Amino acid sequence: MSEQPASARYPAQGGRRARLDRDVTLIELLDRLLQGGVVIQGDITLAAADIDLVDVSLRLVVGAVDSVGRDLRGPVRAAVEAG
Amino acid sequence: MIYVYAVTEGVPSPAARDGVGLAAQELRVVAASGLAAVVSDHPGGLTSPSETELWAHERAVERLMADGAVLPMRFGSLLPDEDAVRALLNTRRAELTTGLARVAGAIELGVRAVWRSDGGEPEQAPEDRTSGSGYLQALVGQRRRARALAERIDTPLARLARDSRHRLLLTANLPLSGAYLVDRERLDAFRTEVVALDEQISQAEIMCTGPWPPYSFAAASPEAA
Amino acid sequence: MSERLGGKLLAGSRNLELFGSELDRIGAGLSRRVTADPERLEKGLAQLVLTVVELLRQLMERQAVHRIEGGTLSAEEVERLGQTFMALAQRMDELKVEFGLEDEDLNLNLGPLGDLM
Repeated sequence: MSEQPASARYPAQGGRRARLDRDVTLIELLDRLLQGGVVIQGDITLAAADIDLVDVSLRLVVGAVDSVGRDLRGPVRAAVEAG
Repeated sequence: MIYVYAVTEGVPSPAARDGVGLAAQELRVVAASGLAAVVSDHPGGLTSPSETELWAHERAVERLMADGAVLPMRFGSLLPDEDAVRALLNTRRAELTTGLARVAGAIELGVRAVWRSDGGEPEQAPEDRTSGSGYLQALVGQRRRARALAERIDTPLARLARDSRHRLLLTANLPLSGAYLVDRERLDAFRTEVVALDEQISQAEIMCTGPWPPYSFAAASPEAA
Repeated sequence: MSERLGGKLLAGSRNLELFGSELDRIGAGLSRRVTADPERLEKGLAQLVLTVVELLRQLMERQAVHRIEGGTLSAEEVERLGQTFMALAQRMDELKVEFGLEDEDLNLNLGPLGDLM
C-alpha cells in the first residue's frame, strides 16, 4: 500500500493526477457520509431544505410505483401524452 | 444542538476521542445503556457544510476506530440536547449493539468497475432507438453484462469479506459499485485480489478505495437504511 | 487507519479518468446537498420536476427490464412499452435542452433505492 500522496506517485502529472485522486476520493466520501451511517430521526438540517423534501416525497412515490408495478403502460403513456 | 459522529461500545479511550470535529469543536462522550455516543456541541447550530466539515466528521470517526467497534453516524446527525442523545442510545440499544457486533474488527472497502472503451466490449452508452424492442433489449443486454461482470468480480472478493452491498449500473458505464466489510487483517489480501482482477479483466477497470469506517453496514440490510 | 491520512485509493489509479467522469455524474447530486455555493444550488422548479420525472422514467424502465428478464411480457408488449419509453426519453432530452439541464442536474442518487433490482 503506497503511503505517498498521489502527486508523488505520479510526478510527471502531479497536479492533475492529485486532483483526480482527490475528486474520486471525495465522491467516495460523500457517498458514504450522506447515504451510509446510522440515521438519527432527529433534525437533519445540513442539506438544502427543498432537496430533502424531494428526497422524502420521492421515497413515497417509489413506494407507490413498487406496489402498483403491474401495468406500466398506463402511467407512462399518460405521462408522455400529458408532456 | 449536539452533533453525533458515532456510537461505540463503552467509552472510547482518551487517545481515540482526542481531537476536534466540526467547526473545530472538542469531541466528548455521552453514555447510556453501555453504549457511548461521541459528540460535539454546537449551541448556535451549524453553518453550511463543506468538504472540510465532511473530512472533520470522517477523521473523528477514523480516530475512534483505533479502539474497537465503531458505528458511524450519517453526516449531519444533529440532536437537540444530551437527553435526546441518551434517549437514542436507550431506545435503539439492541439495534446499535447488534450493529457494533456486526462491524467489530472490520473496515469497509469500496470497489467500483467502469467499462473500458478500448477493452473489446461494445460501447455501453449508445441506445438502440430503431424499435421499441431494440430499445428495451439493449437495456436488458446492458444489465446482463453488468451483472455478469459484477458476479465475476464479486465471487473472489466475497470470499475475503464478511458481507457486501452492490449496486448495478449507477450509470451506463459504471456496471458495479460495491462495498465490502472486510476483517482488518484481510485488507492487503483483498487489495491484492482487486489488483489481480483488474489485470485479468480487460473489459473493465476496477478501483478500490478505503479503508473506510463501515458506513455501508451501519444498518442491518439495505432496505433498513 | 490513522496511518493512512491522505489518499484512500488502494487500486485502480492507472485509469482514474475513466472513473472520474462517471463518478462526476453521480457525485453532482451528492455535492449539491453539501455545498453552500448558490450557483450550484438547484436551477428552480424545472430541475425539481424533471428530476422526479427522470427518476420515475428510470425506475419504470428498470421494472420493464426486470419483467422482460422474467419472461412476463409478450413480444408485442415489449415493443409497445419500448416505443413509449423511447418517446419519454426523447421528451426528456428535449426538456433538458429547453431548461438548460444536464444529466448530473437530474441525478438525486438515492442510495439504496438506486438499484431496486
